[in-house]
Amino acid sequence: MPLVSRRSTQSESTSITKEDHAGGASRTVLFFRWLVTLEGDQDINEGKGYISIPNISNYIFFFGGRLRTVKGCKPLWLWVLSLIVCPMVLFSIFETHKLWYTKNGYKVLVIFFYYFWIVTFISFIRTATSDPGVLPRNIHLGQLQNNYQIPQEYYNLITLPTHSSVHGDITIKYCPSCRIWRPPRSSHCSTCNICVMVHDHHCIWVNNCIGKRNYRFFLIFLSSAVFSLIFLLVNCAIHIARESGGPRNYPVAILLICYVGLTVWYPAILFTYHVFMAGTQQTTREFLKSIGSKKNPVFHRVIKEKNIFDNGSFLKNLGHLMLEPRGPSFVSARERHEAGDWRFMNLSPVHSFEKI
Amino acid sequence: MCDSSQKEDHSTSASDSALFFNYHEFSFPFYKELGSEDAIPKEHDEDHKLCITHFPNVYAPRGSAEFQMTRVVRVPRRFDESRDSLEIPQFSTQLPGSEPAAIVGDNSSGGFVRCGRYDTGDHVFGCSSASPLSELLDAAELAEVVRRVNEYLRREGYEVYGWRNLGGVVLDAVTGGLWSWASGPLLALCGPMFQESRALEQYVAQLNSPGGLLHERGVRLVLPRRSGCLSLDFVVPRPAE
Repeated sequence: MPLVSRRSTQSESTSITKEDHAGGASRTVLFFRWLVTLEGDQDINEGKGYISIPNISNYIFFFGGRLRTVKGCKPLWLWVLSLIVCPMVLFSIFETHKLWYTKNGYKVLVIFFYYFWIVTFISFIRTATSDPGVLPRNIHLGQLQNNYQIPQEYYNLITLPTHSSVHGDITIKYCPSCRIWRPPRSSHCSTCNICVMVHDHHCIWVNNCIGKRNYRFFLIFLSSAVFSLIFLLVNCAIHIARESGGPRNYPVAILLICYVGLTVWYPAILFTYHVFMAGTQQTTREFLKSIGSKKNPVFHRVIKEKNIFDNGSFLKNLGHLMLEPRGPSFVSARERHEAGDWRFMNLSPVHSFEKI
Repeated sequence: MCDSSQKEDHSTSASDSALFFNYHEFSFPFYKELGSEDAIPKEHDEDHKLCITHFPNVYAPRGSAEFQMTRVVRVPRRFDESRDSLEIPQFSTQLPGSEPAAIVGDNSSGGFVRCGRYDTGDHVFGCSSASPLSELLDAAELAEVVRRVNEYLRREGYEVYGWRNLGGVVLDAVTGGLWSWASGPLLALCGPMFQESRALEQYVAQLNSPGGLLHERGVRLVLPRRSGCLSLDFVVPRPAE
């Protein structure tokens, strides 16, 4: 069945050169596009990736593709950022000097707090703004006719044999949006509108997918957040213990202890959950599929299903997912590409009644 | 002869005996037969469906001469030759058309036998899983090329317990991920010994350059990084009638 196009398809018109474009645009416009690239332009498919990727995804890029986020989502990441920054500011203003100028060697505790806070802050930025492992589009285009119609066979789930030491076959699937045969464990994120390698989940708190290339940063973020909160608690408790007089003398310390009591649980529980997920060789997406629920998987009992990726032991599984190499970025926002690159072309979308 | 949907039925219904095949290929019954330029497309029976084994060259812009004159033959990823092929991209070492569940049909020679024309540009296809790559490389040559590509992929960037990865994990944990951000340019300054290995890129460049095996045959291997390691793509000349 021919596919219905909702927009004109890309053609030779995509090969407008950068010079033509730059000639018509002032340096200010180009500078602002470098600063923030909000939208893609169907007519510009040349230059660096950050100019073309918004054509085919919901990404917004900053500083020439150095940072990214996803448009059209609630800015919950700003809330998380303020939860990270505000306590540090309060601690620096009201607490640090009191602990720093003591003779009892509390300086090391202050240094530990700042160290873990810096690691938390950087890993949050890296998790939220780096490439989670985006897969290129249109690599497996079946044909040109009928508006790039997808062959019927490409809608099947394909079962392929695995090695004799693996119990079970592997099933792979074609992504009709990205026009690729997806590798194992990757999936399409409808929020970002891209396919991600070893896709764990789309995290609304960092507004980015958690996948093969930023899972490491996500785990560092969670664990360092727990440590920085513990050191914040310890430092404030020492201040209170050393202070004579009533609570009026140390209101900020009390406030920060309350803050730690309320916030330390979420990263701690989430990190523990990911230890169990990795130990049983499951991604959040696979776990959600196995429990058949859309409820918060963090509070669901961990089920160990028969899993072809299982390495046999908890520790081996843990190592394989948590220490996994990041691998190369296949769709780099900073690399140049030639004009008319198919990876950045938005081909006609499939009709609504076709299976996605 | 069976078509690819029959192969899938076979593979899904008997998971114990799933057989490997090139899942990129698909069949099409409504096509122009070879012989005359103005042939009218018509429906063909199950045994004479076209098997689409070469695809548009998505590595060249649509309007370019290269796009018109070349096609891509995809060698698929394979998961049954080693345990770690589930995590590390490993490609089939068999020529498309010689896999265990390939469509053979009446073609006992195993070569690319032309049957009809199909798709925009009237490209020539056969009725079996054999692709135009069979006319340019023999099974041993392709196996050797893919085996070396697989070896490089296994060595480069996908080893969990190698010093490079574990060192990177520790330094990332200590710096909050700054290490991965800064390591590329920093290691480049320290000299070639510390640089990320480029052996696969060099091997592919050597194959494609004058004097290389593929260059001599008029074939070009696309760098796996360019195709996202989704398949090993060979750019071949457009098959003539």
